[in-house]
Amino acid sequence: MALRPLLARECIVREALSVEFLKLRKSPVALITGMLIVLLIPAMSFGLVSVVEGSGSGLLAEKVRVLVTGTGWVALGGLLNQFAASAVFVGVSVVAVWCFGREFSDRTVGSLFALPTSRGTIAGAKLIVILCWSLLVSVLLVTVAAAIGVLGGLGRLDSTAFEELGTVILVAWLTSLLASTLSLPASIGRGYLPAIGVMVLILMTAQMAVLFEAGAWYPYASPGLWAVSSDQGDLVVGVAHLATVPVLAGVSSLLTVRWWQRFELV
Amino acid sequence: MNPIVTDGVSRAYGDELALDRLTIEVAPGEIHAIVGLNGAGKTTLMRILMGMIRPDSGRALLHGSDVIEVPGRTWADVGHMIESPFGYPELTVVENISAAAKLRGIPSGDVAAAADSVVKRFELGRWADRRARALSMGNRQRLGLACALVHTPGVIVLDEPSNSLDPAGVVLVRDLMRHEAAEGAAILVSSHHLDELARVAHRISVLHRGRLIGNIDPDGFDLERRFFELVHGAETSVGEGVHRA
Repeated sequence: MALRPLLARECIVREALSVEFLKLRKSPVALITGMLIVLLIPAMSFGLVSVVEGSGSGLLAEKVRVLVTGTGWVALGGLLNQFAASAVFVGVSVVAVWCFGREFSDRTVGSLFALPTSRGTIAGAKLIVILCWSLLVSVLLVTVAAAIGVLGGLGRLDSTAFEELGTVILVAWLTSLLASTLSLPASIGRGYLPAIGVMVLILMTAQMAVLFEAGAWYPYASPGLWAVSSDQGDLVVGVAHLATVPVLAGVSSLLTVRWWQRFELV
Repeated sequence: MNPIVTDGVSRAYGDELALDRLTIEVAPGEIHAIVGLNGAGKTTLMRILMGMIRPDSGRALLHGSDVIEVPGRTWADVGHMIESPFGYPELTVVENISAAAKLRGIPSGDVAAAADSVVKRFELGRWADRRARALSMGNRQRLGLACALVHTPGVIVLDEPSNSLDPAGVVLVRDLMRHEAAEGAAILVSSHHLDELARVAHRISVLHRGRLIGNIDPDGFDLERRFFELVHGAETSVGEGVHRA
């Protein structure tokens, strides 16, 4: 029996991307997580700015004032950055862990063998879809924050506002890159729980690194630290420190793709 | 060379030998059934053939290529369902089949027609727009088979394909295997249901403790008796070996 001609490599990659995109689009995990990030973070940030800039003499206002630097768009941007560095990390991690871990938990992984689309290609498609989704979520987060800021009386979108909101997109996306590294423990651990454990460990070690003033060189802490320190005019994180983030994400992605290419279904 | 060949394949899990120098072949147009007790090595054999696990020794070949380095073009001619049927719970029946078709290398322009054809073939039309999570076990099995065969492969490997199926589904799978074999497909199938296999298989091999211990004539009588004679004989020889040692 003659074999069918195989699709071109770029077509195989495109089809793998379309399948992974469909799975993510239909997933309640991605939808709920995205909605929480896009709606809750701007609402909470604006709410806290309002508390500080309002009458502001209560216990809550005193506590919030510790978190806020500046006023108006600067204050909103600072809070968005702080929330983005933690909440976006957790949110995108959950989606990344679901994307990879679900193949084992839902027992669909066996069907990804013996295909002309290699498992490495499928893993690469998953990573690309996760990063595109996180970029979309970051842009929507900032769009909603801008709308709330304008409607809430922070003034028009001037250069300060654009600079602050641009920083938020950058922090959110760097954080998303870091969260994508959870795909590796979700794969090696063959399910959700080991990767969730690693996520908790990362959050703890990032806190410790900042506490011991080693956060600049710890990729999981550096974007958040950069955002906070730049707001306070005390820049301790530079481009070299931030460059560790894409390097770590790149290495993790390569290892994940390689692992998917070679693992056995024992 | 036949489309499906294993040549002296062995595989152990720790101290336990799951396959012991197993050699089988499946010719084009042949339905080769593998039967055995639980843990006999049927699924391990199929997993090795589908590249899910690697053999410790020996070779598994598809269309003459070692499965460890088989080209994508060869995989495009393979359809399999081992253990769990393909089916993402959040996707509908048609979306799952379309996803399977895309991953199996069907050109995007032909995906809808291929999905439509296989939905009709597996009588899934009533549930075409239903999410997989809402399907009964039997219909999930039909969906898994539809996904495995959407690209009309020439090499088919099915592990217990009639699991969870109602009598109509069992007849459907039987007819489907006959049809695909008549079209030239090489089919390796495992099941616990000897009578069911005897209705479609050209050859029935008995696997026990990872070794082929004999064959059963599909046209013979009292297949269960023949099966247990082979298994009992193999157990007796193992026992004698232990006594001698």
